[in-house]
Amino acid sequence: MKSKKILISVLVFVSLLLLSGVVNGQKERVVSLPYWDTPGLIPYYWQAQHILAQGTIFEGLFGYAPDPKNIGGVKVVPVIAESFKVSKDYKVWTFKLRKDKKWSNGDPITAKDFEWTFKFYASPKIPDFPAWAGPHQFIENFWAVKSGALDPDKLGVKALDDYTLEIRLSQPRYDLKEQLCVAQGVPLHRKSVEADPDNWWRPGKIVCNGPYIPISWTPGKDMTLVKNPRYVGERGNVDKIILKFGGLGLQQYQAGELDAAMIGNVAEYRYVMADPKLSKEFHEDIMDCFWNGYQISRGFDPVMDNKKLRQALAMAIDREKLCKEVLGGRALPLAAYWPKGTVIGDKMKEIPFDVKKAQQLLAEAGYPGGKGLKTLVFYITGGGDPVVEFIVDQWKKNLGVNVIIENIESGLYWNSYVWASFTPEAKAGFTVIGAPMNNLEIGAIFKNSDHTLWFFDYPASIRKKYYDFMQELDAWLRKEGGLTEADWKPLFEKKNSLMEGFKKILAYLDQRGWKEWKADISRPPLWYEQFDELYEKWKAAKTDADKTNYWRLAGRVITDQEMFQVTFNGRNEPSKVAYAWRYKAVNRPFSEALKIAHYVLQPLQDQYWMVPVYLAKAQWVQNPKLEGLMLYKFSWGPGFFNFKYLNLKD
Amino acid sequence: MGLIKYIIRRLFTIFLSIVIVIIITYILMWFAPGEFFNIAQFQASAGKVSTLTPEQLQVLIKGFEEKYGLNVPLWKQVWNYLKDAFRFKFGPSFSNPNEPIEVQIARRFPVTFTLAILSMTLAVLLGIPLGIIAALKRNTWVDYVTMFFSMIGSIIPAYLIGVIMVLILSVWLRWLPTSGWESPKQMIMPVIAVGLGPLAVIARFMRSSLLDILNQDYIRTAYAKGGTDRAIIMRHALRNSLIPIVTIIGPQLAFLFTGTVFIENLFRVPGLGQLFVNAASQRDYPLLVTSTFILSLSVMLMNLLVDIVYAFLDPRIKYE
Amino acid sequence: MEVAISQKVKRVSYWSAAWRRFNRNKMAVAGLIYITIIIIVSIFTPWIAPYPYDEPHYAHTFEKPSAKFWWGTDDLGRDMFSRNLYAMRNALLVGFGSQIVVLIIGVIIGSIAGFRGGFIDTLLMRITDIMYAFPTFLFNVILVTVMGRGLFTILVAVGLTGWAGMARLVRGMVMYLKHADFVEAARALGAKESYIIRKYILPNMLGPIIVSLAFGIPNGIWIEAGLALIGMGVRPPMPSWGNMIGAGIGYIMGFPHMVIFPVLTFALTLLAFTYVGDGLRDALNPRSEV
Repeated sequence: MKSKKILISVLVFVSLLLLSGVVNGQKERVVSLPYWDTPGLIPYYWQAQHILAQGTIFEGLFGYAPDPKNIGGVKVVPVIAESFKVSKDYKVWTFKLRKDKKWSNGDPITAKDFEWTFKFYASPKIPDFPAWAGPHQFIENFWAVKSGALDPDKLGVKALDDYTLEIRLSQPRYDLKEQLCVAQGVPLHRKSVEADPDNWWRPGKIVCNGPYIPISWTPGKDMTLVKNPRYVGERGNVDKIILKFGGLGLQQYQAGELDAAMIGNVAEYRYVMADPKLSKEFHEDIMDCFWNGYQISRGFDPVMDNKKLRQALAMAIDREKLCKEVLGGRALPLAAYWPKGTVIGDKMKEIPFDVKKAQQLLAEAGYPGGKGLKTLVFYITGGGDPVVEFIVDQWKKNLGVNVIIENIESGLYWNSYVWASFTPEAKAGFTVIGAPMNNLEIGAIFKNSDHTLWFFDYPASIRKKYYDFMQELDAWLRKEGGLTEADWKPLFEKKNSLMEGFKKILAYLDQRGWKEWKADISRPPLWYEQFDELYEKWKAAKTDADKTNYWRLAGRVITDQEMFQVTFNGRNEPSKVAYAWRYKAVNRPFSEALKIAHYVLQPLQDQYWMVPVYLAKAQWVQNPKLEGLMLYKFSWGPGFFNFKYLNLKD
Repeated sequence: MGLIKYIIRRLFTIFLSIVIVIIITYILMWFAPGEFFNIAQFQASAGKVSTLTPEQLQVLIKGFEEKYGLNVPLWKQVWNYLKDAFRFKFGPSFSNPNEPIEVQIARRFPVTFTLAILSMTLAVLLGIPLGIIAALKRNTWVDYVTMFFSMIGSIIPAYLIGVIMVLILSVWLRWLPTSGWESPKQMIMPVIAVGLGPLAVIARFMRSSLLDILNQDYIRTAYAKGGTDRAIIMRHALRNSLIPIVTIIGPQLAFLFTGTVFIENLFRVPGLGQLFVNAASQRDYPLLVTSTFILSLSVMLMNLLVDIVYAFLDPRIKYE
Repeated sequence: MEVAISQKVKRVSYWSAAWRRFNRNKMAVAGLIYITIIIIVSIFTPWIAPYPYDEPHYAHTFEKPSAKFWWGTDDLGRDMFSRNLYAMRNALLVGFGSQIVVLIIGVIIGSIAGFRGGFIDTLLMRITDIMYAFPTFLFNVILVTVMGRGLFTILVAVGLTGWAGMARLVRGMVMYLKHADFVEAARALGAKESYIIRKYILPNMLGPIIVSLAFGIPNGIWIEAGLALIGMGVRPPMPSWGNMIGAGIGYIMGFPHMVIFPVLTFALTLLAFTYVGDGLRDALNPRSEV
């Protein structure tokens, strides 16, 4: 009896030890982090989950690894891809895949997965696929497939064998591997998606290929990820990651509910730095993929066409004072699109803070001491903008220029005032702009300062014409008619006169030596070839609806070409130079593009349509035992992502 | 039989009201500034200029319009919406393409419903006894204090109560967490914040209802006679004074659901109120119309339920 | 034995009797005093406020109450005391303004329904029922989304959603008074309809209408603050209790003064109006409360 009792108590004791993990040794490693509110897990939508798809839940041919010296703090490394080849014209990319990568259910990942997924993305079955956010828009026949004109099989993606993938592009892209890092570059598990198109992505059902799998998700609250047992590849030692939504921060960090938290404002910053414990856990980094500042409003008032006026305004802002006092040290002054210490920034000249010079320029512009200049409007949104108030104050103090602040409601502000092509109702003035890179692609290194090229650097009259053309393009979609030859007559007349103009432009581009630009606008199918083809289709059309449709499309082709010619000829000279350089830059591999980007950015900056003012810092506190935490510095940031490198020290 | 007919008539009125409300809401949306469907909104750009040509953008827009049923005239859109609305199919939402609206609502409805029921229960379970005590001890300090606090409770809006509670109980005393909806600890403040208003109103009404009855002559004389009849009379008075309470619960419900909109935002409760506010600020019109529909329907149906309960309780009520 | 009948029986008018009854309610009187003070302050706010509501002082952000800034400063270094004054002013504007809208719409609809009766009455009352049962705040949000955010549009929106009670009230009174004894008597004596309306009906409606308006003002105030709280109120930098509280919540950890002051003034104002409303109701309808 006694021995039985001893045996039982030993068993109980050991089970207790095992349960408490002491004997077992391994306590589960759990990390809790704040994350953007995630409304679903479909990877390709432009929502918070697309960041999870970039290497945490899913992974693609390429991905990001930490590299503090690089743009965005990341470098591009092959993940599923083992090697790649690219044709001389950079239009055909061939990838060799690793043979050891697996789905979370054990299926091997093959090139066929990629082929099927990309064709799925291109098909009309996903009408709201955000094509602008990734590489698919450049794949051969993507648009024809998307509009239903071609079968998805005609998409330029093919699995040459199980582990070789060929992607054919409709135009040369030098940064395809960078582009493939985004969420749209990841494959989906065909069987799961086809079996349950609406709910394949739900935790518990989802089949994914990343280092972590979601096992539970409460919208508005949190999501739990656990280690994918079938994952092959580099990964940290964290067993479970809990992502908490709802904008949680410092409070929860102090309560022990989070292992890291972003510092959201000056009050919290001061609080942290004054706290003996928190100040030791403080980290900061610069958001180098953004520039923050203002742009001229996108209306048609010719007042702002005066370059000296714009320059004076840009030079009259004390950026140092702004960052120290208004932003409480949470930003650095920025007087060029890229900061010093970066490849591009080191080659750029900054906008100086020089009140005397600014006053002189203002006088030369015709408004000495600010007299004679009408009151300008600075559009803002939200709860008030201290940066804007400071800038407006500076202009008043240093230049005598009067600016009033007008508050526009949020949705309207971003869509119609800041990022719209034009805002006809905007008065002469400014809006804020926080110009980010969405991801690593060559076009993004211009950080949206190329809006100056697209929309700003023309005389106001040309900008107005541009806007009118855009309206006309839109109107063509609904025009009635096109059933008779007579309807085509005016189009043909236009076409002939436009042919002359087009030839002149080609000759001009030749003369200036801008061959990349010329190559882009003479890429087949040329506009007049498209026009002729539409005419033939119209002649052969059987129904009235088809006839009208072809006629409308032809009208759009003509209007589009007219718009191009008017804007090309109306462009200011610095803008032409910058544009030509931009063509050069996007036709080079990424590292080469970085070297010549300043030839594009400097002329743009020197036109002062879009002016950089400050560079935001990301500040956060972090559990000292946590390593490998990566900061997301692109457009959604600051935040944390790419959790495969997380490591918890004991 | 009168009751059944009454219910049917009420349901019909509810149906009609909701339809009118939806039509009006839809029409209002249509005229809101910023376009009903904004192309730039579709791009949901965080700063990307379109690398798409107008042609390409057109392809995407057409697909989008088809998906959201926007390629038909307004009256047809409203008709399509209504057709499916009463089957609880609301279509896709602008701001969240992962799930159709009905799934989002189905998930959040229980949360709001729980909050509402818990708050109402609190209001009834505490309000009635408080009112009774105040009535029985009328014009004593108990009465004054109770009535004073219920005055405050009925005037101060729910969110203000919520903020005050957070200030005192979370920031100063650190007794309760500031947000969430998981543990009972997290639920305390939201429920109190939503329920305090109705609690106050119920308490005051209970008090005056009971006093009304107690003051009636037959009660007073019977009471004055004394003896064991007193207890019976008291029970009788109480029961009769409870019945009218049911009438005020109805209006309190509408108030209560409004309160949840704020409280859910304040305490990060993942319910319908949070959805509504998000929809309004993001101009997600389908979601906005639908959450209005669901909230109004809930209030009206619960009102109907209350009226039916009242009919059972009060034999004097006849429904014609 | 002669009893001197020398006491003059004072003719007591309805209004002075009501006033005396009101005065007996100490809380109501206190509320009235408070309201009078804040109305005066609100009218003269631009002169009383020590700072403009939108003037930032970047070197003094998040400061606790001090001699320079009596109620402290906010995230842009703006004086909280001045901002509270302007917020109060906006609240009163919306409160009173919305009730004017309510009065106009409610009286018109209620009178038509009461006078005409019949189909129009039924129709109007159905509409009123729908408005009554509907959670009006939602509708306010939608209206503001459509009409835009500004003091005037919010005021109109609150009025547009709040007239149902007033309409019902007016209708009820008109129907009752139409056939009241003294009105019938006046009619029998040959008085014109318009005279009857002026002399008999309107004055008797004033009491309940005033009470309804008095309760409607705090209603308008809390809706305005509620809209601001969820981000659909007046546009910043214009202050509102709602957006001050909403913004202050984020800083509650280190700087609770940003929330405490708006909460206190807001609560006090609401209480004051409600006590006054209660007092008015008791004074003008002596048969009510036990």
